[in-house]
Amino acid sequence: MSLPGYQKWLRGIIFLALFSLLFALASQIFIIKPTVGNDSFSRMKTFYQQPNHSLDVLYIGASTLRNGISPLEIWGQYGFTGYTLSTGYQNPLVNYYYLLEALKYQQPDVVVLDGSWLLKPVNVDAQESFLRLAVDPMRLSIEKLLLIREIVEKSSFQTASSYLFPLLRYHNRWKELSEKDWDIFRFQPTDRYKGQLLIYESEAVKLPVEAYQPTDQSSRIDDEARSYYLKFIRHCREKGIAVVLINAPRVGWNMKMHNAVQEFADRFGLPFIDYSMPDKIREIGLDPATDFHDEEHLNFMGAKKVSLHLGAYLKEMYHLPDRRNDLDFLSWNEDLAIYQQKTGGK
Amino acid sequence: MLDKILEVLATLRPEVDFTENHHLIDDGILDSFDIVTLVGELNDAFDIEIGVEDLLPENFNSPAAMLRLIERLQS
Amino acid sequence: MGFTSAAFFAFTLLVAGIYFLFPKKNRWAVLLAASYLYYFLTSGSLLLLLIATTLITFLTALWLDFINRQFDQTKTAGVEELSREQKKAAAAQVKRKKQLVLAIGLAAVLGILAFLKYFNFFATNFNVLLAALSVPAAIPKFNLLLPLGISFYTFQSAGYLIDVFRGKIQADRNPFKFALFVSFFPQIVQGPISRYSQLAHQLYEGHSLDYDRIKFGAQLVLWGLFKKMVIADRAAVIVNTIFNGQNQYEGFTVFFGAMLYTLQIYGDFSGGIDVARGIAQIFGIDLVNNFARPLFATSIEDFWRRWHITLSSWMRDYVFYPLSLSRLFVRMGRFFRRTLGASIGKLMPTFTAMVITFLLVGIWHGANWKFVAYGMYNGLLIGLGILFGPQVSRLAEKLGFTPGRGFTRGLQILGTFVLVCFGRYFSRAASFMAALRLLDRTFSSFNPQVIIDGSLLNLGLDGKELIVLLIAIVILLTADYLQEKGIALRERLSRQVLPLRWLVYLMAIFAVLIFGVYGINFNASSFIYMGF
Repeated sequence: MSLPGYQKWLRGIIFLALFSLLFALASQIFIIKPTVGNDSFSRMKTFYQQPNHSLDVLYIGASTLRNGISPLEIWGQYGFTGYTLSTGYQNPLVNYYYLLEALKYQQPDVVVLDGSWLLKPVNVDAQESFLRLAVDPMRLSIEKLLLIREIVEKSSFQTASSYLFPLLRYHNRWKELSEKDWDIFRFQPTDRYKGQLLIYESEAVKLPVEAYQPTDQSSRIDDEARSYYLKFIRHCREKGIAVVLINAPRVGWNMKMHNAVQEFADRFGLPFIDYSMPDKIREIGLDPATDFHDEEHLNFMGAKKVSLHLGAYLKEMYHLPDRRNDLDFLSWNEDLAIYQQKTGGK
Repeated sequence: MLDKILEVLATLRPEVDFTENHHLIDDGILDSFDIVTLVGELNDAFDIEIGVEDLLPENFNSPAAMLRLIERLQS
Repeated sequence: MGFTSAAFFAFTLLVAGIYFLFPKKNRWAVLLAASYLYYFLTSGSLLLLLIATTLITFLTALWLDFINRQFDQTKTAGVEELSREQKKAAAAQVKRKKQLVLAIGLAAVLGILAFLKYFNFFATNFNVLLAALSVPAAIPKFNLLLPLGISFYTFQSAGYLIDVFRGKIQADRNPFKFALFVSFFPQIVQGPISRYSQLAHQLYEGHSLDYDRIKFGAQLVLWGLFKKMVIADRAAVIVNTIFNGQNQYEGFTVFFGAMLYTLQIYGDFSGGIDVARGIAQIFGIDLVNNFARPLFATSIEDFWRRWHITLSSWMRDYVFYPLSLSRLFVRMGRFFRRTLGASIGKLMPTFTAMVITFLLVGIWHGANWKFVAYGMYNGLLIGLGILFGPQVSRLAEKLGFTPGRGFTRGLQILGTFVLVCFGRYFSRAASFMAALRLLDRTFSSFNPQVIIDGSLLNLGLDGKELIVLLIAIVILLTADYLQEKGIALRERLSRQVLPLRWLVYLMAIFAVLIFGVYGINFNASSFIYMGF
């Protein structure tokens, strides 16, 4: 090679640029493609598309919230806006960083937080695939990097590089790549239901009334989970945001669990609405024969009943505005129309 | 004296032309077994004691180099 | 922070950046700081043992140098007064003194290695012996941590001491520079075992930033990663299944495992060395090559000239030569010539020295009887080659074969490969007894049908994985074959047109990224579960 020095370096840099481009393309090909149930990608993308400071309420927590709350139903009934940031097995660690990420774009009056994970350990290794589905859709930001750092520190096998460069995580998929994977320029669908996952299937479940005998005992709260809840609550207090703890209706819940979360809520002066309690289920008119998808999750009919109650509560307690006639929020009415069409609403 | 060295080399490896080659070690023509046997033969033939520290490629690359080594050890 | 981790490459990039920012005369200090940091990050306080070996070696070498110089001074000062006899006596006295100093230094340096690596092995076997003799006593065993690369840096240090003793090199005067020679981070994990005369000056002088060196270095790293991550780590899946299994495999399947292990260890070891050499090259430093197409060896002896070259040449220079030239062995030669006749008798000392050398090669690999067996297996095969090789060659020529050429060469290569694979039973099996059981099972059934009946697909790699492995092995063998033919691949490639070159580079990088075995194995079912 008889090129002058700087030309060689220039060529090296062009090569690196070309490589980076191909690497980014390869990452898009190899990354896991969302299915309907785990499409955290389109839900997150749509969240980023919401105009700044346009959301009155954020709902944050695991899949019971994603399936069990309908922000559009609440909009239709009460006129305030909200969005659900919820992925499968979403633990308090992710909840906390989702909050930080969301507050960069939104200034909600209230955050509704899933209270049930207080009782479960944060196990980043057992739920690695769910963490991927929560982290991968996030925009690159300080918050994302901090979340990755915490995950990697707690993990026995996960690496930061594999979160930053998804190809390093998904390269083994070379064996099972399909046409869908190669179609990387496909338009990614947006989510129309403000973070809700509409499920139509139903399964009759049996709610265990005997599990709610009054008792003084309460389940143990996990220390690590508790510390993330406290960080979450403290951050909201600093920002002047109210926090409401809830628990969605589910079969695997009981009085001791309820007591534990209730004690935590009382200790920190937070309201706790437990939709698993038999009296609550009666109050909102939930029908175990038709309103569940499975023992842990509601379908759209169950979600509607929870939302009517929760919306009324939030409206009354926090004096949330009615924006249904606000010209800036016309698109919400369009989305509501589609939602109602899909759910056979009024 | 050189003839005597060539004689020893010829019994060791009859197929090699030692007058032509000047990189016997560098080219791998003589391997470590050859070297050990060769040193034994040279020690006997010239009544010298070639030590481990003399086992350098430059001392065994050619018959001329071996001659220089032997002369140095005899003095 | 293994050689294939992202962290290691980030570390290397960072060090390279700092290296070239420093003034040339201080660049060696950057390498020393990086090497000690690397060692500390991977081994923590075991760094102290590395420092101990470095210090002992450094000081012993200075002492040897001091004796040498003192002797030179008396020689030149009192040249007239001393008779020839007196001079000879003085020289002998100095030599004895130097031998003593060397012995102290070697005992200390090798003693650390011997204690940490071999004490428990010794204690276990000694206790078995005591128990067999019904002696109610036992040597205590220690829970010893083996410092990273101790076998490599200890041998490199010992070689340096012997070179100073022999007057081949002068002792290093700078303890910090010398510390770099012992600890240079790309080579400390798995070699190559370098010689002071070849490496030290390269480390100490500052090298300038050179585009072509960086390019060649990066290519070498990439090739090493390919061998390690695409071939070795993939072959390891099957090898582990067969060798860690409970003896459920037999016949050709076991031998298939041994063949794959031969390729695995070649890919892994030579790949690691290529990564080390590539990184060193980026800093402007040439590390010696440790492999010269070992799979194309035509005899076991030839194999060891091509495999782990720095270990076998170390053993040759510091064990085999001194042993076979020692008084004892010379006397032994005379004895055998009298008793066995001239032709075999004069080869007996070489044969004995060779077997002893390979016993040490075996033990160097680890404290286990299987490695003793591994060393003996190779030593005896080479020894037999020394004793009967010439006769076999003559016989073959009479039968019309031409050893070393054409078809016969192919047969030799194949035969050597098979012998090497059988040796691998000992180095891979869990224990010596396990190796014997596997050998027994290999010959207990003749089942070549497993090649086509699909049973090889049940060893941990599915069909697609096996095809990738096969293609990668073919690429490796082709590259080795071309180099064996004397074709310098990197230079040849750099003469091609730019698009072709870039295509090759990109394909190589993505082959490693995609087909490399690393990270978490993708499990689609854990993602497909929808979390309802």
